[in-house]
Amino acid sequence: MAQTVYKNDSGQIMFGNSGNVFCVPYDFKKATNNRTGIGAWLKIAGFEVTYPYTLVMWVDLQHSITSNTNPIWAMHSTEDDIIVRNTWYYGACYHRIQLNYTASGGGSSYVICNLGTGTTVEKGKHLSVFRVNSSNVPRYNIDTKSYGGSSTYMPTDPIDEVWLGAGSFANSSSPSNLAQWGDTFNRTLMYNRYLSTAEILYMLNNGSGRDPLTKDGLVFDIYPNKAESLDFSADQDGSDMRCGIRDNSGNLIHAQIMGIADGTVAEQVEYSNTSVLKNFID
Amino acid sequence: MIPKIAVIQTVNFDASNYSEVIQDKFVDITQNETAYKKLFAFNNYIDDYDFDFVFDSIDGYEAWLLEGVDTTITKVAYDWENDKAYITIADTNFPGPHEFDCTEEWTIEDCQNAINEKFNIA
Repeated sequence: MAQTVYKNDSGQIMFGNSGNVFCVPYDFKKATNNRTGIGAWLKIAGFEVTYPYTLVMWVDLQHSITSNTNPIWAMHSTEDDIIVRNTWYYGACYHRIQLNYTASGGGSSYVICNLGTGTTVEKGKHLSVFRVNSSNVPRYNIDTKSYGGSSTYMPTDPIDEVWLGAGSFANSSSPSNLAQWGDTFNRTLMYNRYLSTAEILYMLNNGSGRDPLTKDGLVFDIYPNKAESLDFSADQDGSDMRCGIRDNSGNLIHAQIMGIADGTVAEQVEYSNTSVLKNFID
Repeated sequence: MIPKIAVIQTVNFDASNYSEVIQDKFVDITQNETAYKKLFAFNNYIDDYDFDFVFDSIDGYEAWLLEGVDTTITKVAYDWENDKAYITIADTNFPGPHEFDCTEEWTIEDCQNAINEKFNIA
């Protein structure tokens, strides 16, 4: 049977991890919120990065973001109990290239790639990139419950958790804010280096699903095609099995699916594959 | 499988009455000054067991929690770079900080009015 080559919204042919051309139908999957439950989100832990670092994430927003209470991702440093959270003025990066943008409330010594159009992030598919090359990054201050200002800049503490689809105001252990209903998340990569603009543009131009230009410095690579029962134990001895999404970097930094109902891991995996993950590209 | 939320008053709770899979998954909550144990689990761990209230959605559960929300203000903070006020309240289920647009420092009455409006309290 003849197959149809898949093209993205820009008419570009897309390739899989193996280099094969995607054909229709291609079963893209992603993590999404499910308000029937409580709101699923992904927690990635078990790593540690200090600047420079870069987070790259494909998202499909079902609503325009006009408030900073709609988190797409958050970073957490348990050492100093602080959170770096995306907002359009604190480091999110979206479609429509506008490089070397300096976020309001932030200094000029760090450069973010803002692909937005001012203060509103439009709904649609975006490549969110947050790259840091200095400690001068705004952070959420747990004590004062506020953002901005040099006193709340992030120190040199390592980032050791990334939350996808969730952020927090109230505390650093669990989210009090989730992405808006229907917002979805596809491939997400963390690097322990400052990605070049050329590397970001490469990913942007090739669309969701394709391998990055290089895996040099890759910390994790979460490609949410399916939920699995994964071993989160340090010794990899099967003593800590959880429902999650596999890390394709080879570093075993899997993403745990949070916010889903309690039950056996097998039940959570089955539920996640049927209700939490759904097609990223419709 | 359908996820559900169920609660039972703490005074009536006995973990051994429930499946071993979820016996350690109950969390403490307070609604309208009454202590409850809450379980968020798949329906097979809830439908055939004893609970006071069962909710099919987070919206239904939150509406029930709101029946007894404590709106006593405990902290107010401002972010003047973005003209926001962040108000924390005493309620354990919805402590906040709750975000509001704000261009100048509010009186405690302003803060209380904003919180009351958010929680639809006359």
